[in-house]
Amino acid sequence: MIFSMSRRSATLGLLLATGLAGGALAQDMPYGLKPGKPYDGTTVTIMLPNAGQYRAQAKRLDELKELTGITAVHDYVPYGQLLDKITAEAMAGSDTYDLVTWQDTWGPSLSGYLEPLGDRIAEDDIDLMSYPEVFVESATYKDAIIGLPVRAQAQLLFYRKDLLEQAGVEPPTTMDEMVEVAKAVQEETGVSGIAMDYGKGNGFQNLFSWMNFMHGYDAELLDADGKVAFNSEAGVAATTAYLAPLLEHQVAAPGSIQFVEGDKVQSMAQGNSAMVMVWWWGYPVLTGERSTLKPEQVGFVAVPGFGNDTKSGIGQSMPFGIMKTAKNADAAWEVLKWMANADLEQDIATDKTDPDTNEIIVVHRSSLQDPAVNAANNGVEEVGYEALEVSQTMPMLKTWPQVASVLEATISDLAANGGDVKTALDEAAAQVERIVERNPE
Amino acid sequence: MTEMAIPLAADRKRIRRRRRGTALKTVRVVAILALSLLWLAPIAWIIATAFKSPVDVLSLDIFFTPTLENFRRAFGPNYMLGDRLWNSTIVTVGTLIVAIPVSTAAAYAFSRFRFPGGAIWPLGLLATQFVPAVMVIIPLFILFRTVGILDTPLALIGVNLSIVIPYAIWMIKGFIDALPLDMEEAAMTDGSSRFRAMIDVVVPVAMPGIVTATIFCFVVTWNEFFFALILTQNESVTLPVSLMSARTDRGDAWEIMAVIGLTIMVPMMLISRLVQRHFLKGLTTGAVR
Amino acid sequence: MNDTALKWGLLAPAILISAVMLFYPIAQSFWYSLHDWNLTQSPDLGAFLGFGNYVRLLTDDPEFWDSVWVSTVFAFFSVTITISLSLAMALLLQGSSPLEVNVRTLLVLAFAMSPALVGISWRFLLSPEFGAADAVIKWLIPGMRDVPILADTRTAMAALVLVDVWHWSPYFMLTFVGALASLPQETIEAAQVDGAGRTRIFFGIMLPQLRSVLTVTILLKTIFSVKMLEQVITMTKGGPGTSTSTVPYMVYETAFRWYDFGYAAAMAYFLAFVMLILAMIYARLTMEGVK
Repeated sequence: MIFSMSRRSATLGLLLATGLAGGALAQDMPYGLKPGKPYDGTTVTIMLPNAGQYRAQAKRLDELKELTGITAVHDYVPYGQLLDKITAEAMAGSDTYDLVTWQDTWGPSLSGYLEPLGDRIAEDDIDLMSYPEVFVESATYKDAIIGLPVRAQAQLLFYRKDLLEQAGVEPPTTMDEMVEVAKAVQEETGVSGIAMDYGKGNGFQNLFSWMNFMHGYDAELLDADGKVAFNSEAGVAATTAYLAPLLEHQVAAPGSIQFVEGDKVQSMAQGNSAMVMVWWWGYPVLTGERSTLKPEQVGFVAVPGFGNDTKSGIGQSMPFGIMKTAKNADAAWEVLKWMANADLEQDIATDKTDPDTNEIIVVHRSSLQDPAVNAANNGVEEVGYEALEVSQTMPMLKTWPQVASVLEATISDLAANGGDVKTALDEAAAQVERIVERNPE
Repeated sequence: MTEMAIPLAADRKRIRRRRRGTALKTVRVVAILALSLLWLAPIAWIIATAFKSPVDVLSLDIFFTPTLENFRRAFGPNYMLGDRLWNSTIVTVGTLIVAIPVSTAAAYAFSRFRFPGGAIWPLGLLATQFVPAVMVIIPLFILFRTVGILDTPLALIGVNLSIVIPYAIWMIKGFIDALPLDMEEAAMTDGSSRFRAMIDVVVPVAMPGIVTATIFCFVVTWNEFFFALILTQNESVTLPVSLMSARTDRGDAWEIMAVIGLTIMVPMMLISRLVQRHFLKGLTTGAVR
Repeated sequence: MNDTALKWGLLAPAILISAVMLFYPIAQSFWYSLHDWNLTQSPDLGAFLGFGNYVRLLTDDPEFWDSVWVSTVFAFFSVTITISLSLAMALLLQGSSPLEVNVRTLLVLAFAMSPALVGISWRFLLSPEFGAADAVIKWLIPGMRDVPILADTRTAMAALVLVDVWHWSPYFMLTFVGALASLPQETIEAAQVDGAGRTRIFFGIMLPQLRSVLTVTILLKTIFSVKMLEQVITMTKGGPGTSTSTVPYMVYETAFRWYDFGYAAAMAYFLAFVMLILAMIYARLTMEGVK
């Protein structure tokens, strides 16, 4: 119900000003919070990486305390070590953290340590339809929802407006077109057509684009019986097509073999590549302080499809959930409702007063389409939303981290050394089969 | 004739040697400069990065307009470098104050006394370091939680001791092994106790070894990352953890990492001066004996 | 105070600290290695397997053996190059002239960098598009122009080894300078008076006296090389393919990424046990003559 309401900040300010917040009636509590401060005096400790969005939330924690009496504490953990830290906490059965966040593909393996939220969601009437389907899926394992999306990513294709214009081509809408555009730009301007990331990096980055191609070619990772299927004919074709910009067409920036996600974005930002497919966080990087590009040089479209009806594109989210060992699970739920609220994210995404808390990311359908949000961020959300509605999650498997390691290594090896795609995928399939056999879901 | 010829031949030999000496000296200086370049150029590049504005960071130009903005940001609320620096200092100083005397004492014992099985004991202690940190972290985490010292410098001092003591014992023992026994025996015949002889005679001569061990312990503790990550939350986070915080989901903030990297290196710049003096002392003591 | 009391008195603090901070957690995690403990299945220690994890390791895990090979190659080259280079550097820089003292002081900065910082920095410096070192290498060696250094199976391992050498040599140089300083000068001077050449003095007089220090440094560097993890994580992530995936990296991945903790513990203890035996053989061979 809360999601259907318009921006709350003004109402909230008024409530606070007149000192009514504490005694407000249920329907007057903003962000769907419980009235009467039932958790007054409790502390909720949150483990999260440092990001503009969270720093913006941190600035607003006092407001949360006014409303609920709950002290929320942000413990920032380096992004690359987030999983290490959660793992250690979970193994030791520690009750230090009430709320944690994770990259969605870790969800299945962490699901044993997280409280299922279905009952709480039903009780507080939270409408999951307010999120693009892909984000809800990414916070669900075996029909149990274990988190609410707060931070999420949509895939976009960023391109150099000036270079494409110079080459007389339009931004591509299919992957085949993308190769053509890359060729045209590279021939005309001498700048590499597209920056790819075939290297090994944090969180199996090179698999996001690869999975795009797999979806586009209708290739399955595992078939309906859970048997390994990625070395099928379609899988080989998809993988070949994924590697083609580098190996066949030579339109990928030469560094692509070594690049991980951050590098490929920098390659475009430094003027060395004309296009890059990446999450929408790429936008502030490409137009930001480390970039040599001006905002008017950077265009973006939804990630190209494959000219058929298959769902293309990957959505990725960082849900927040409650640790089973949390000291204050009920209070944590209040904080989580606040963090995941559409009003809050809109407030943050439209606040451009402080570069330190500048943020483009929103996750609710209403926010993604919100004119004010889009106006403040050059319409990145709208285009991202277009992609998200046809996007899928990465495979939600407990064994995914292990399977992904094998696939990631196979891809980086193929990119570095060439070699026969079918043979390499067969070898990977044998390894994955052993993993799947040993660890039934 | 023959009486004359001998010194002449010796002179010629000396002259030839001197000429070869100058050539050798040139080669030496060139080699030293080449080494310096190989080691210092990358470090200089990183230090320079700390003073670059973000847009210059990825450019290969040597010239840029320096800025202190990165320092302001690194010491600001996002990275809290000041706090982290303080925590790292406490942990490192605490570790060294315990580790060096304890290791020196143990090294002396292992070097000078007989043990059944001989070198197997210090060797076994050292072999514990083959066990990866990821393996011992969980039991220690549980232990520290039980005792209630998670997120305190004490916990970090504890684990750092467990890392550095086995190495320090070996490093110092290596030096004591090389010292002739008769030195302390001489002192003992003069009426000193064995303990006094160790303090007064062995420790000063083993100083270069103790100093290298101290540098090692300092660097390891100062840079220890994984335990600090897992065993701290907010209060006692150390420098290396904040170094990793500059790697975000949007890629790496190189200029911030460079600032933190420079902060990590500064104490070494300061102490290595001090250390060199110790080494020089070692050189002269060696010459006197 | 008699010698026995002194002996144990000197050892007591080290033993006490080691017992709590070292032996206890090691015994505990060794206990884990005897169990099935897959954290995706349950937070609690699973069934007791005896040496089941070890059997699986030895008979049914080709990837583990690949990583053993990778670690062996890495350790061999990084130990031999680091030790010989740092000894050479020590001979070059052992004097007390201002140039030598200053260069020594500055070189140690490389060692002052944390392993993670070394890895991150070199990844930055070797980046194919924005890396300064990459640009210099490609300018010096035109044949390298099309080689992505960290993504080519041959050069990635070489880069990993050389960066490790770069990191550690200054420290071992300092150790050797210290050792050279405490060598008795009389024998060297006597040999010089006798007209012995530099080479002969080095191999005939200095090297034998450096024997115990060399033994220790080689042993220590071997441990550091076998344990090296941060640079793999920050520079190559074990890639391209699995060509730089060392044993500690595999242990880390298995435990903290794949959640197969019991099995990861078995890998770790297998490695530690093999290394202990090798260290003992090595110590027997090299230290016999010293005492």
